[in-house]
Amino acid sequence: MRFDAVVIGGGNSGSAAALALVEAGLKVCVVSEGLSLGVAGSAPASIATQQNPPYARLAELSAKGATVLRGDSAVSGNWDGLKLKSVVTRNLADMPLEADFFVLATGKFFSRGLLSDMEKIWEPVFGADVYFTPGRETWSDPDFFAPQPFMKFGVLTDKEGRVLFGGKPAENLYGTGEVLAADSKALDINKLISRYAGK
Amino acid sequence: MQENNISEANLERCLKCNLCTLVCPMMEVNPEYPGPKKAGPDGERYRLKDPAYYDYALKYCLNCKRCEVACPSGVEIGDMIQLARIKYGSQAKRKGLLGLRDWTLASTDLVGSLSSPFAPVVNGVLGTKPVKAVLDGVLGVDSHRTFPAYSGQKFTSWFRRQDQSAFDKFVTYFHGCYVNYNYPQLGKDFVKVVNAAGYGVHLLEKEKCCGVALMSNGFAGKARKQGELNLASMRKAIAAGEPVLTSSSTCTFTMRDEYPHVLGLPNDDVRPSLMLLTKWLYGKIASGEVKLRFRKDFSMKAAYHTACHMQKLGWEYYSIELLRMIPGMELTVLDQNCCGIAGTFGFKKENYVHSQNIGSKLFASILDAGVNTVLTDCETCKWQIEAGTGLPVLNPVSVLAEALED
Amino acid sequence: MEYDVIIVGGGITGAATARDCAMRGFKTLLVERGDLCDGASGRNHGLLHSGGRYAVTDREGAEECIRENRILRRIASNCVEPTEGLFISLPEDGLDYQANFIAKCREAGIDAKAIDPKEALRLEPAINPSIIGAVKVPDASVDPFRLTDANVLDAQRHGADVLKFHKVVSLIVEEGRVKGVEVLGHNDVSTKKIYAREVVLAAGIWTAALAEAAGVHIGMMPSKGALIIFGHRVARMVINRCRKPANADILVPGDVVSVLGTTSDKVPLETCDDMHATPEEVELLLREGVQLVPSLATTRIIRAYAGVRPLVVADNSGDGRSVSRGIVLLDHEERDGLPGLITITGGKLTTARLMAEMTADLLCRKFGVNRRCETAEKPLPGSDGRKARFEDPVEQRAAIGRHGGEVSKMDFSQGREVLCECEQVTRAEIRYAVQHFGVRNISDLRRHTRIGMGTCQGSFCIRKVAVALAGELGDPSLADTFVKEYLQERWKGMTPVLWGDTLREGEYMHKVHSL
Repeated sequence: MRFDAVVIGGGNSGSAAALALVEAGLKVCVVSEGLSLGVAGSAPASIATQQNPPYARLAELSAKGATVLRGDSAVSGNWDGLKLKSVVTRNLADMPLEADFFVLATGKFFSRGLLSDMEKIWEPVFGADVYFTPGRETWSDPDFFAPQPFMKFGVLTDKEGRVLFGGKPAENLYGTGEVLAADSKALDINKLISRYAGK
Repeated sequence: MQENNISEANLERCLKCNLCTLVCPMMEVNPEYPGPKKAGPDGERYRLKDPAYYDYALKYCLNCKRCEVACPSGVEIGDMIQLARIKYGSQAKRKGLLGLRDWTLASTDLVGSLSSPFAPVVNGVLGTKPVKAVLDGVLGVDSHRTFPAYSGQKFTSWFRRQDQSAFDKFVTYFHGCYVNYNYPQLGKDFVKVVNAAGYGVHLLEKEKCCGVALMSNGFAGKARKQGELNLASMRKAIAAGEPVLTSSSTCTFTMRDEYPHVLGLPNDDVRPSLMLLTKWLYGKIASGEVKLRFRKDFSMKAAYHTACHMQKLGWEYYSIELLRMIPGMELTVLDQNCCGIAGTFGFKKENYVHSQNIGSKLFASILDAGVNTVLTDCETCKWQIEAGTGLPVLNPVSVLAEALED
Repeated sequence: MEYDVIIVGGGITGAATARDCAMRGFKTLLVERGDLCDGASGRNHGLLHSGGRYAVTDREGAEECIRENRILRRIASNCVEPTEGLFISLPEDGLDYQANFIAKCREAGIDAKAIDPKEALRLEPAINPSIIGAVKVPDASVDPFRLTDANVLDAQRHGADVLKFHKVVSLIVEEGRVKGVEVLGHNDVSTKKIYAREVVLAAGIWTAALAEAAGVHIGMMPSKGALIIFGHRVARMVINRCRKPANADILVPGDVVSVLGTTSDKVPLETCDDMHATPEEVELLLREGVQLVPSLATTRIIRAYAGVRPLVVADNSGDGRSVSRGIVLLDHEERDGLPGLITITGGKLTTARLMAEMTADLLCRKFGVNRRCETAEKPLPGSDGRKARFEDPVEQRAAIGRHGGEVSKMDFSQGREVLCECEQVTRAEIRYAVQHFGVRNISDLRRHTRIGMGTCQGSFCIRKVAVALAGELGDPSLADTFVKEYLQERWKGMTPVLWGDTLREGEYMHKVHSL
């Protein structure tokens, strides 16, 4: 199964990136494990409505010809050095999704873009470099309404928005949205389009 | 420790975000149904304390699994509800004639095998007004429903006369009750497509109904026995190096996922080799092993409906891509909506109105699409959509068979 | 205005004492600085001891427990769930302790029966499969909030007054005798004096400071106990370790959750107003807890919390656990030459009724009257055997399970709407709590229902609840403050366990409510 781009995560950032890529004429596959909360700060009542922006965007993506794998999740990647060749998903395990480039947009803890145990925090699909502070008492602020340190944790990227592994950027895996650490740079969608759309 | 909070059906991963309630087709039309979150993880905590907290309204769950597809936490909400119905629902079981009705609807292969030799008689009787009134009034089968017609010749009888000996490689076909008793043509189409791909067809040594109707009507014990028998037969086929292929998304889903999750039948060894024909065929074509030659004069304007269990399997991609390979196929992929039939659910008198209300959104989108045919991988969706839109509904396998160059 | 008795402290001991005093016909006032169960009564295991835990070390305590256990099953059927309990022996525990344990239980009158490990695993599949022995005992689960509420309701129905949200700032000592208390209400600027013939201190660990101010020294040793709450019932029975009592060796199925505890650490008196579990305590509890029930390693933790045991010692040594949990009734007239003051402390949740009986007996002697105690015979409000049944309307079942016969006071025709979905709390139940317990905020409401105690800790429903409560209280502008206070309070219990799914819930809560 070959695409121009595979976007992992159908939430706010993933669906927006995917839509831009589709509109630029790329053949896109979106892996969307479950629905997304939509925008941060929305009242619970508005989460469960069809106004939820990513929810509407997934339908739009299907209508515009993208392949949307709903309820599926990326499990691992097949690599050639630092070049990501394909992504394996749970439902389509025996037919990995191949693409020229990939976008990691799996969100933070809620959407399981980041997992945690008592000691550490990690990115489960590829094992990318993750920023977090040691000692879990440093992860939260006792004042619930203060900015929470754990919201700053996430995947590290280079200045092009490419995901880092052991400090080195992957060739064709870009990060965007909340999965990234607060100081990490997200992909530049226009640069990606100009690089991959005309090829 | 504590990295992964595993509990039965992932009960505890539920964060109460309510995204599942956004997609539940039953909640939208039936205020009596508490919705997947309350029926599933919320209710389960109380049922674990005391089965007296079991809510009778769980019977309205369609088991469409759309909640599971929407859940960002991996909670097996539908499984949890199915399990609760099996574990706690016995005190709520209806007695007497309604029980007989559920048994009749659930026992697809028994009733099927009784009926087939007398198909013209059965079809005539089931379709006539006085009998419908009896079904409606006494048995609780809604009078708007027409039972799927029973075919005169079973698929297996037809297949026995087919010579597959010319092939040197084979697949095994799990045909299911619907193909065998109601719609042998789909089975014939399956054989045609597989043969065109260069493979011969075997049947399982023994095949029983997958059990989906038994499970949803509360007969888990019988479903388990049938499941064990099916798995044993499949293991033999797989040991002989043959994949087990199907043409029904619901049978496939049931045997792959409901067997381990709901019936407690381990099937890890069988799952990788058990799949829909369209998935297998797509893989063969994508790898270059198989090339299909299609007619040049084929023409069809069709809409593809993703059946609920197809969505849960995540395999609609394969059917859609195969259909798109057919020259002359103008395909619209419909937005994902439940048709409302949910197997035997929509046949019950008390469910008919809900079933139609759920389906109305889908029917409207089909009629809007301006197509002459609807395609779907599920046989019960077929009955519902045919009744709801008046359009013919075909399985993608039948369309492939029709489009093949002779 | 003068009372016969003023009881200071609205925990289970004070509530039970108020009930007994009122039933004996004394004009009674119960004063509580916050809401009922604000202290240790709301921060414990919710275990109705069979007495087994004390059988080896404290025969008297064990006998008290089994007697009270039988009484509470009868008089508090909506608060007690007869889960029964197991004392399991792991290979490293050996079976010597078990033999002695069974003998001592029998001496104390506790029906302790050794059962085959296989039978134990059949009864309770969740326990550690490597057990080498098991003893079945009549432990049970008891809801401390409900039990306290029921005692207070009954006290009121027998004429007692209840003054919540009033802090006792000092005891009135005149002419060498305690004559009453000086109180300051939460919303008041000046104190007021209330007089009584006798004042009973039942304020748990806070008793010492009150007595000290009146010149009486009670050597109290605050012993902190941390506990963690798991999201659902992992076991049906109370699971104890059959060994010398130690950390984290009891798991109780409390309502729809499981409670694991406890630790035991001496803490300074001044820290008792701000108790919380630490990350280290959580790790210790988990490490030990998985020995009892291995699946706890992968069960979601909702929160962690801590309470303080009001232990009384002769001197201030020891580690807290070696000190008897025995009942301490001090007649300060006799002990310190200060008439008008009585202290009731020590003891446990299970024996609160007995503590009340002993106190009321002493009061009878002081007042020179002879009135029989009836608290062991008369059922508490709600305790009429009413249980949730399959036939009951589904939205009422959780309320019936919690309040028993008291549901007849809830108007479901006007309040079927479920506001807290995890704990299935309806508007009718909220209205009942407001009317009967003088609820001021969501934390108060939580103690009298189960609102916000479920998996999401209020993330999803709390705004709806706040709006409903503010409406019931007649001031819609309160809703925002309610939400803020409640989430801050929940956060305190979530931060020590903020990893895995609890961290996911934390992110959800944070995004929905604080951005």
